[in-house]
Amino acid sequence: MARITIDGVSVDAPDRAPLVEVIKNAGFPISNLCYLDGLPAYAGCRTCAVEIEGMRGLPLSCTTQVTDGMVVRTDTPAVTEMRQEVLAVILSNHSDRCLTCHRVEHCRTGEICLRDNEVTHRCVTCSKNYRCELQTTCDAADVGRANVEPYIDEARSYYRHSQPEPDRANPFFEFDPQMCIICTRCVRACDDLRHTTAITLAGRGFTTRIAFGAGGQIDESNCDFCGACVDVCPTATLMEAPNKWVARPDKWVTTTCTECSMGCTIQLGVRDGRTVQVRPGNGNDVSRSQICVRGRFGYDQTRDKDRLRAASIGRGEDAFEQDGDAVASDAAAKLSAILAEHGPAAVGVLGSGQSTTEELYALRTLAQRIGVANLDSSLGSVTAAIGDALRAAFGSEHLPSRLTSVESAELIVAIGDDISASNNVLGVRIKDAVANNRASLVSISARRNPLADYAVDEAHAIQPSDGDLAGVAQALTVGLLRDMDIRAALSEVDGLPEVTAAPREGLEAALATLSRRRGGSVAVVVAPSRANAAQAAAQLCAAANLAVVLAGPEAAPAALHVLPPEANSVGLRDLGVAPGEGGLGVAEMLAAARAGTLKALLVARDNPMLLHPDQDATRAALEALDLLIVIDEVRSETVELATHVLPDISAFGKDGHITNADRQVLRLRSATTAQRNGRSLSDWLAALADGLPAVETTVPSEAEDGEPTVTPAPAMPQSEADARAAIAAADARYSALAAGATQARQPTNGAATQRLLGVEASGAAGEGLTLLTGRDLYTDRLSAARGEADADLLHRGESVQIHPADAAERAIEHGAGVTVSNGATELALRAEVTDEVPQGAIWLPILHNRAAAQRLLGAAATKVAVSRG
Amino acid sequence: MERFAGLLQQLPRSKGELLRALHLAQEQLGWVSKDAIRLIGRHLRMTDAEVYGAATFYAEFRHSPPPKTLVTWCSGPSCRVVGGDRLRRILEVELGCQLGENGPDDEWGMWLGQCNGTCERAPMIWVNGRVVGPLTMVETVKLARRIRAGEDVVEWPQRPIKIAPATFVDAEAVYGGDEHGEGAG
Ligand code: SF4
Ligand code: SF4
Ligand code: SF4
Ligand code: SF4
Ligand code: FES
Ligand code: FES
Repeated sequence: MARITIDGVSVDAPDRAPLVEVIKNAGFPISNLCYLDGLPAYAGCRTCAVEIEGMRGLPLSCTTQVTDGMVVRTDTPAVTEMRQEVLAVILSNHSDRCLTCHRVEHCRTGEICLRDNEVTHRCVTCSKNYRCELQTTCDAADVGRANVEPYIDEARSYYRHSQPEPDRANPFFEFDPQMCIICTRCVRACDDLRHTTAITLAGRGFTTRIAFGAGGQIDESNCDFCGACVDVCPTATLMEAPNKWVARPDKWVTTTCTECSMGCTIQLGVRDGRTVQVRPGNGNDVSRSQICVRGRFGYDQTRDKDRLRAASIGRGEDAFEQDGDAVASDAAAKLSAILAEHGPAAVGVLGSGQSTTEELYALRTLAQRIGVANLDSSLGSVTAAIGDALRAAFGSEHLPSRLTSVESAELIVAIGDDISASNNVLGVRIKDAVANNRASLVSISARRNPLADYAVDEAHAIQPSDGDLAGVAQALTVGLLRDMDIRAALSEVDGLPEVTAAPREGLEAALATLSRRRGGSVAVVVAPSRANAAQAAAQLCAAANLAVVLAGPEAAPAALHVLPPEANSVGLRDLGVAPGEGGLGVAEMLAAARAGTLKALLVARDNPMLLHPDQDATRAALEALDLLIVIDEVRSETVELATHVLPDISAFGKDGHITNADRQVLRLRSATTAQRNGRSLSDWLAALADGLPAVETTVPSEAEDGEPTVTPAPAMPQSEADARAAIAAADARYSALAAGATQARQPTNGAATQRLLGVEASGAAGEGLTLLTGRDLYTDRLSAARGEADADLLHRGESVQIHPADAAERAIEHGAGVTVSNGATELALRAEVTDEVPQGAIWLPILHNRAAAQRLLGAAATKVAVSRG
Repeated sequence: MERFAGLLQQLPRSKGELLRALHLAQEQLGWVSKDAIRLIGRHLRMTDAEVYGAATFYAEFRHSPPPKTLVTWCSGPSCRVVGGDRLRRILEVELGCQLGENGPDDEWGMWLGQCNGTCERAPMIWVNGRVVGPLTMVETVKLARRIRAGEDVVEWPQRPIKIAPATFVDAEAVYGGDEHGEGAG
């Protein structure tokens, strides 16, 4: 600790901390246009100059480290003058519309423009007006709007050169280089914070400029539209495109992104009850300052007009809108009738990992109240497979592993289709480990993905051509365990076909790296298949085994990190939204519906049409039901098949919690107003419960003629807070929940045992190309559910990827139409010929076109025929 | 392109090979195209932006394809001391493109050249590699207009050399005071 004096005030700061951060944290205003907290100083803008006793000149506070006894002044005339000069130079080449209008003192609030100036010189012509760091910096230094004219007439260099054109080609953010002050914050954010390196400082001397990719449009570069550069840009150069001109929020609400199991903390900028901007927020200690394109821009893809705005009764043509309470009571009456006639075995309930823990508690309580044991979710087979594998390996699903440890690991094995797409921010943390910590990364993914460039070398980016990630991981385990060479190890894994071994040199290299670096701090990260439960189970077992041999049996549970498919998948498992005793799982429920034994289904925010494999069979099942009550936010295909529809509200309008992949219990806060007729899922469930019978459970006494134990039907929670209290009372691990905690971590119940599990090869058998699928980064879940043609605004994830050799064999050209067929069902798509998929496999984005890929997928891994046309 | 891709594969896959890869592209393709940047990035495990940043830092790499008629302006000291900068301005105005750029449809373009020792013809330019000079201002205007009109200027008459090459050059006089000084890099 050092004690320093800033403008006469004594401040404690860590020794050697960057002075500029200390000044800011102590609450003193200081301009620092090119500094980024936590990153090495760039020292390019010179606006952070201060006076320090005993030092000559005006040192830059961003390059100065704090030492004990330092006496700093930020406000002397010399400092101010220096700042004004520096700003004048910066502004000489800036389109300082907001600073040059002579009326600005009069219409300061920025709400009204008195139009007393040339059109191009009004402050309101810059979208960053009144939320701009350069503007506040100029104001604070008395430059521009007040005293010092930053320019001499129109002779400034800004007016002497033709200005470059803005790039408005992508839907997410705009790049207007005429506003750029070359602070390079964006370059460093993209490089040092994101490790995407899509931005560069191009040229040199007078032609120095910011450029994306190979100098073209942003969407032609490898930019993944995370928006980190937009966050740090101190000018209007990089601006979010949606709501660009209205994004001056009335309030900021901190909540949680529910688009994947990372649960990044986000802040919603809300204006007039709707979200206009999203920024990363403090809370989740894995995401910290980072979010992804889905968290930042997803809010804008589904507006209130796209949500369900009326309850309705009836199917298809016969459907008509009705008052919500009437629909709820009609649904309850019909459900009661079915319960009375066919018993609870004829009724099923599906919940969703997109729901809050409170909602899931209400749903489970409702199922218990009416005595229904058929409780699951569309991804239930996958999440159950994950849970079972963890129990088998470690005796518990509650692993003590922390995702924060990934970024400091020395050896990382990443297993999954594309972790940078499914769980983007964890991809960033893995790259952090490699870039900042020199970690060795082995990537096991059928597709080449953004982690491949961070693997030790090309050979360590292993692409099993039959998509059998588990088989490869298990072969590595066997090789390590028995000190075998990889050829022998591969043959030890039952049924692993020769084809998996295709990149054998890669496996050899990976095996050597793993055996050299095992025993240190290890992270095995697995994002299991979301389409196939058997593969998910195999991947989990293989990953657990690998963790045991790499980290040792004691440390293994803390070294294994599982990324389940949905935001609250963990909460869903923990709360027991799973088949009760004798109850059916989702696949059995759908089969029973087709067979006619299941008559009614209550679907709460879930969407089997989108999430369950074999879409045609799912449709037949849902059509066969007498009663299908769906509570959801948008008109999904499941909603279209429903007999009763109740409109749920957006996750941005909800209060509650989710448990993310890291077992952090994260808070959702209501920020936006509900759409017309929309009510929260909990409200609808309570309304339904009102009209349904409550069943007591009777357990016969053990004793001969003793009284049977009668448990009354559990009470429905009356509010979210009520649900929280009930959950906390039932399970001590949720004690923080009752207090409405923003963020708490569930204590784990320890990992007792560990053992190596058998893994069977789970690649596809038969002729044709292996069908690979996964979540792409850009397809918006809700837009996909409602069949929006532009669900993927960038159109990056809309085609089938096929290897050039396979394409050539079938005379398929890049961009041409192809038919993918599994023998029974055909799908027409465009081809993207790319060597990012291995030879012998094709890849389809799972959500594209209302998850059309689900029509081809069955319970087992699938081979498909691909042809032209 | 295929030849370039083949030769690229022979370079070791390390970032240290970036300059060699860029030179290879320029040699084989005549310029550093976006496709070349992509291939280099993929081979050296770098992003497009990293490759592009380096490629634009060094003035010798070109970012547009060779035009049909290529005017190379000599940035050497002898040419500049006898009015090369004025040649450049005339060409920029008459051809409507800056140094390093191509005109519409890549019909013509003006690139930066380094002294190759033919200083006896200063101030001079190269037209498609052939030395043209010494040029007067009027001749330069005429030459540029003929290029714009799509005429063949290969047969441009060469004047006999009258001016002896400069033997002493005051660097300050050559490089100082010119706002486009970066062209010399
Ligand atoms: S970028 Fe900032 S300083 Fe520049 S015109 Fe816009 S609001 Fe003003
Ligand atoms: S949005 Fe993200 S990936 Fe794209 S340029 Fe900005 S920081 Fe880089
Ligand atoms: S785009 Fe913004 S962040 Fe990037 S250099 Fe320009 S002003 Fe700075
Ligand atoms: S990584 Fe996941 S939780 Fe984080 S912003 Fe992206 S989608 Fe949302
Ligand atoms: S912040 Fe110190 S020089 Fe820019
Ligand atoms: S200086 Fe122009 S040819 Fe030598």
